[in-house]
Amino acid sequence: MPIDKNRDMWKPGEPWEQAIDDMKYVRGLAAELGGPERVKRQHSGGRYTIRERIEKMVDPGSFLEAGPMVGAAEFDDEGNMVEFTPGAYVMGLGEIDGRPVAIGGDDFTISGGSPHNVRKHSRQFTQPLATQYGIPYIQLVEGVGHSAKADEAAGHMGLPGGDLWWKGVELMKRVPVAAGIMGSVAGAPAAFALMSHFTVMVKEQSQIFPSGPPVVRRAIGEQMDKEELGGYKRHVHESGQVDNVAESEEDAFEQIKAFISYLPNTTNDVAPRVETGDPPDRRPEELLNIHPPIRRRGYDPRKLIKLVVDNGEFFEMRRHWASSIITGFARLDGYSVGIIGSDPMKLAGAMDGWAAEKYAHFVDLCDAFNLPVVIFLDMPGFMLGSHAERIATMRRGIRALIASAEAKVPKIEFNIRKAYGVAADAAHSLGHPDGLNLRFGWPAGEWGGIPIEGGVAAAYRREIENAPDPEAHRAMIEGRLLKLRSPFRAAYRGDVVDLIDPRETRRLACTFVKLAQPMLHKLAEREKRAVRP
Amino acid sequence: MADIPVESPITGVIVEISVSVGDTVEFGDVLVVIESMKMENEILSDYDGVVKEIRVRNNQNISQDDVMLILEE
Repeated sequence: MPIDKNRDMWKPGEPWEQAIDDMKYVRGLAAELGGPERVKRQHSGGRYTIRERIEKMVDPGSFLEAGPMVGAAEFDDEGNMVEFTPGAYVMGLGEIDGRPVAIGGDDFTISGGSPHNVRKHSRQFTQPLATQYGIPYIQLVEGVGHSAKADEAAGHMGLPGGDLWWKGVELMKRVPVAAGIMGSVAGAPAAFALMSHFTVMVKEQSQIFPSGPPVVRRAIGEQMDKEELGGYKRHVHESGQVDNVAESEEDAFEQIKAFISYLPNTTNDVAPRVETGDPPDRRPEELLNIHPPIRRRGYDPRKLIKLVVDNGEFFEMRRHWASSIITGFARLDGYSVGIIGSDPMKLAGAMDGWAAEKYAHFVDLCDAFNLPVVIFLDMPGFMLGSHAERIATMRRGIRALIASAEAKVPKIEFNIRKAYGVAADAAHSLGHPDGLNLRFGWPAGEWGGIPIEGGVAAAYRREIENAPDPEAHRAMIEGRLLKLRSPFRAAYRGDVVDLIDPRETRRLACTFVKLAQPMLHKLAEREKRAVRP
Repeated sequence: MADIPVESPITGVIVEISVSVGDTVEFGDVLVVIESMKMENEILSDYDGVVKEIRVRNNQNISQDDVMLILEE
C-alpha cells in the first residue's frame, strides 16, 4: 500500500472512527517495510524480511508489536502526511511455546537497517521490557551500523558514548539473550549481536565484523570478500567469535529456541523441570563398551553424552571451536543441566588456550543461570608444544581453574578415562566448599600429576641412561608404576566417591541433579554479573 | 574439481597413512593416524573426494597446520 498524499487525515476534534482508520493506514504503510522492490531484493537473496523472521520465531498470533507507527513522517501545510519511512527496527513481545519473550530485529530493506532519518531502537522498548519483566531477549540482527549520512544530517560528529550499551549490559546480567546474525552485520549492530549469551549465524548468508571489505581495504589495504573476512568459517570454526552455524534461517530460529528452552527466565530463577518421559534409572547398556579397550584410541564422546541425557537430546554450543572441550545443554530427569565433556578425537582431548577459554566461559554461563554442571572428563593435560604455547595455554588454563573454583553451582564429574595434571584440576576443581560436588570414576579411569610415560622419562632420566639396557630399564620402571595407576587404588584412598559401572552413570547423574535443586534456588538469589562472551 | 589441502590439526608423528593416491574418501573416513599426547589420533576427512596427493610418510614428524595431503572434491 503506497502512501496516499491526498488522504485527508484525522485531525484533533474529528470522529474517533476516522482516527482508528488512520491508525490502520499508517500501520499498513509500516508493514510495507522498505517497499516492494526492496522486499523483493531481500527475498531474491534467499533472505526473509524482519517481519517474516519474527512470525517464524514466535507462536502464531502472539506478536504484540512495539512502536508499529514509529517512522520518519513529513506533512503538508494541512497536516496531512505526505512521506513516511518506517523505523528500521521491528520489535515487540511474543511467545515461544507459550513462554513470553521480547524480540526484535533490524529491517535491512530500509537503508540497510541503518536509516539516518529515524531513530527507532530496541533500547526504547524491548530491552527495558525484557529487563523489567524478566523474560528472554531475542535479537535478529541484520544491519550495518552508523551511517556517515547521519553525521551530515546532524551537522556534527558525536563522541561515541557508553549510553548505547548499558541497557545491553543490564540485560546480560538479568535474562537470557540470544542473537541470530541474519546477514552482513557491521558496526554497532554487530556489537549488539555479540553482546549475547548465544549467537548463531547462517552458513554463507551471514558475516560479522567491525567493518566490511571496503573499509578494511581503505584502512589496511587488505583485499578480501566479506565471506572470507567474516563468514562462518572465520568466526564459527576459526575465531570462536560466533557460537554456532545454522544451515538456514529456520535452523537458526530453532537453535535460538533450543538455547532459551534450557535456561530460566532470569539469572535469579531456576530453570523449570520439563517432563521428558525418560526414566532416571535407565541403564544404557552401550556405555559399558563405549571405550575401545586400547587406551590410546579415541571414541565418540557425543554418543556417550547422548546415551546419558534425557532422550539423547543434547544442544551443543561452540562445537566447531576449541573442540577438544565439548559444551552444551541437556536435561536429566527433566532438569536442565550444563554439560562439559572431553573430545579425545580433537587434540587428544587436551586443553589448549582456546579450550580453556571455552571452558571458563561455559562454567560462568552455567553459574549465572543456576544450572548444575555435569562433567565427562577424559583429560590428558594441557596441550603441549609451540602452537599451544603461542596462545598462552597455561594462563588461560588458570582462568578456567578460577572460573571452576568460583562457580557455586553444584558439579558432578565422571572420570571417564584420563585426568592428568593442572588441566584436569581446571576442569574438576571442586569449587565452593559447601557445594554438592561429586566425583565418580569409571573402570578405565587413570589419573595423576603426570602420565607414566612422560613422568618416568623425566624423573628417572639419569637412572635410565646409566642402566646397561636403558630401554628395558625404562619399561621395568613403567611396569612398576602401571600397577599404581589402577583406579581401584585411588578408590581405596577416597579420591572418588565411588568407582562405578558406566551403565550407572545416568542414574547417578539424575540423582545428583535432583539433589541439587534446593541449593540452586538459594544460589539463584545471588546478584549476577554479566557473563562476558 | 577444487583441491582441498588437508592440514594436520595436531603436532605429532605420522604412524599410519590410511589412504592411497586415487582412493575415494567420504566424510568421516580415516585419512592418517598421528601419534600425539600419547594417543593415536585418527584424522578424519571433512569432505567427500579423491586423494590427489600425499605429502607425508610414516614416522615423519608433523606440525599443526602442515599440509598432509590434497583431496580433490
